[in-house]
Amino acid sequence: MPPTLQPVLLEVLAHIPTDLFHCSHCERLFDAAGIGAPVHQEMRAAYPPEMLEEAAHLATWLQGLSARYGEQLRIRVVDPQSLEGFFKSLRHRIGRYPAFVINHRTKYTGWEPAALDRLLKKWIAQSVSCDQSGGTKMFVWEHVGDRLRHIARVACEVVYGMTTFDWARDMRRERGEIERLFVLITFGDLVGLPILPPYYTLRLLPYVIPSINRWKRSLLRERDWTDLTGLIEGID
Amino acid sequence: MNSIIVLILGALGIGVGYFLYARRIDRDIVQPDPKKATPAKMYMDGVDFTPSSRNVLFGYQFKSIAALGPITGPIIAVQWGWLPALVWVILGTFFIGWVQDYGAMIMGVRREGDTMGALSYKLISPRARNILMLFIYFYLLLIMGAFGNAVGKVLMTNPQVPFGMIAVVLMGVLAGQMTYKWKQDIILTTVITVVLTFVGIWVSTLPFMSSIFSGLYGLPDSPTVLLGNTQAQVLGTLLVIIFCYLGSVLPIWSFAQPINYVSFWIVSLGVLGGIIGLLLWRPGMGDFPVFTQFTTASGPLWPMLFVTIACGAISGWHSLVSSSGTARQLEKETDALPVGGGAMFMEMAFAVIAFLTATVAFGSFQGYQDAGGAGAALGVFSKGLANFLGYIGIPKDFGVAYGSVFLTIMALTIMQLVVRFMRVASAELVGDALPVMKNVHVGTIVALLLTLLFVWIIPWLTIWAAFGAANQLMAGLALLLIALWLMSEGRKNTWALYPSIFMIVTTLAALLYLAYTNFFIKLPGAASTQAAVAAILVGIIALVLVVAAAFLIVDGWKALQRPREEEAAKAA
Repeated sequence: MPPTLQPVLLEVLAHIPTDLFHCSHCERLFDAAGIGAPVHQEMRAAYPPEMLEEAAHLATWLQGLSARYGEQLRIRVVDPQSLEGFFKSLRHRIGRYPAFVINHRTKYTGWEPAALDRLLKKWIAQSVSCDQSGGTKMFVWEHVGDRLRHIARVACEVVYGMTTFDWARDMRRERGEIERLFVLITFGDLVGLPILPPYYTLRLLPYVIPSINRWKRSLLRERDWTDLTGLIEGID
Repeated sequence: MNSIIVLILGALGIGVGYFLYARRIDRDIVQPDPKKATPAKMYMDGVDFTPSSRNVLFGYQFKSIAALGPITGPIIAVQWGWLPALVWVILGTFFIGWVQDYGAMIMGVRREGDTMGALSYKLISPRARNILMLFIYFYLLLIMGAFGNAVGKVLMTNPQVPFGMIAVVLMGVLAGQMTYKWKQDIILTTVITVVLTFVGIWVSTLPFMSSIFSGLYGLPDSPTVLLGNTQAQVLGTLLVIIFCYLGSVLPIWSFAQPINYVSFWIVSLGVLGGIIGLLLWRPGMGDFPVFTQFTTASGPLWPMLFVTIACGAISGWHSLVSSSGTARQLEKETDALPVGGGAMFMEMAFAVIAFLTATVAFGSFQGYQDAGGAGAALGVFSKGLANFLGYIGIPKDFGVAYGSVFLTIMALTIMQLVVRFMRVASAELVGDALPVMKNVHVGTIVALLLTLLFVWIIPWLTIWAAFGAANQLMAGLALLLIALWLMSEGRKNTWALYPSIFMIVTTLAALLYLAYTNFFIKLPGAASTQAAVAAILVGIIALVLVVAAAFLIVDGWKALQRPREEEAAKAA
């Protein structure tokens, strides 16, 4: 019998050094001007040294776990500052980081690899035995829980589709229009507009090349009145 | 018949229709391939072509197709008796409705996300696209007239309603500010705005508030002031028009969109409460007749019933949403059935609930007539819903105001976007010849004046029938396109072709009936200039649509013959 097909989920709640990005065009401009990498480097370096050290240590630890347990273990890193991280901290009453939550149930907080290993082995063993014996009572409940979570997720997605999906779509459309316009202004000669490529446009060219086909297709796509129906969906 | 049996029949219609008929056609004829790249993946631009989860798209598609149509149609149609209306809602969806929504969606996916306009051009003829545009234009004009009439001249004339509607609008504006300007989280925004909206609706039922609007409307005997309309109707309509104007000219994020969002919760909670109340109550039909008579105020059962209930059984508008909107976001071809077909079957369930508010909520046919009958369909729904909500402890006055506000806001969210569309379309069409039409305010005011003309002059049932006919002609065209596309791929097309023939023949008959009654019965007998103008207006619209449909039939027939002619030419 092969090892279980159902991997054990390890959620790691830890502060992650992050850096902020501008829109893709600004980033390309920054890169082209040679200031992109230093700006981000500076942002990352501004974190307290002990935090960077901890992050590096945690990364090594997680790489080791991944190498050791392979497909039996699925690792997710969650930033406590995210909405999900906030709720997970609340739910599992986590006050210190890094914290590890195994299969949404068992919590471990600390830096002791052996302690975490013990818990992981216990869960993996249970999972394998469940797979071999066709499931225990606890895992039946786990499946019910999984099913309920799945139903809740589907319901959330449907409600999202009925409510804020439209907002997100309109925002995407707005951004797309601006991006199309930006590329048209800078690279209009690619579709026959008589725009002389200035020096900075040429410097942007390598960054725009990957999206040129997509941009051309989007810009030159035939449109008619029925495209405008996007404005008034939900009419009937 | 008991309401629970009606619900069971509806559920059976969905179960058998979706799981047996629709799935079989999907599996055996269309044969979607989950591994095949969809336009959303092939042309992903992060804007129009973006793969999305099928659950999200199901919600989006349902929201896009289900609004006032499935509520209004069945309530008007029960004037022929409850059986014809129920049979058409269930069988119409079973054999035609889902076929169109799903067919348009999968055709859009297989034809690289082309719009219905482009598909008409390619599969039928160049002028078929122009005919489609004509249908859309009349559809929009008539929908403005129909909803403006139902809301401005019926719901808004109840003095317990206008303040509730104002509250929803104000809370929508607040939601927009909280989300986009103050960056508040969506849960807090939703809780605050939805709770305050309910408070606003409650305040609107208080005597001091309703007395203000009673005074403005000149109630209880509101005087006739303009084109045969009472002071209450004129002011109610103007209030609606003002909101449409704001919705059309203000940035979408600050007005139309957040109002839409707040109203989603108001409407969903109302429908949920109504269903719970219905299940607790489980009323019967009482003396509501199975069948009344073949010819009613709306005309003969065939063809008029089939254009009266459009959305809820089959609606041409859905094909535009399915092809231009949803088809470009499908992640897999296999998602087309649950999203397109599933949403249509769900809309049928919505129509069955609306049907029940007209038939069982009052306990008798007389009760339905007293609540307004076919002439005030939305009034019937709000009162019926209030009766259902009464079984979960909600006071009648609040229930009626709540039902009216939720219908009003549904109509308003549609109307303000239609005005926006008409403004953009008129700027595109005549902007070069008349540059003033490119002005946002001028374009909007012209669209609203046209709306007022329709609302103040044309009777409700006539305008609803004309609107249904324009809509069903689009459905006929969409089904014809689906049949042609199936033929071009060498697949069996009878499941789309026969519904197409039925819809085109029925709608043509309805339009000819409308033209005949308006030119030869209503016009000679018109008691006022207003009635004569209304008869001429509706008669002309009906004739224009008939001529357009005739061109379409000729071109469609030629397109159907094209493969045979090509084969014959090859053989020769």
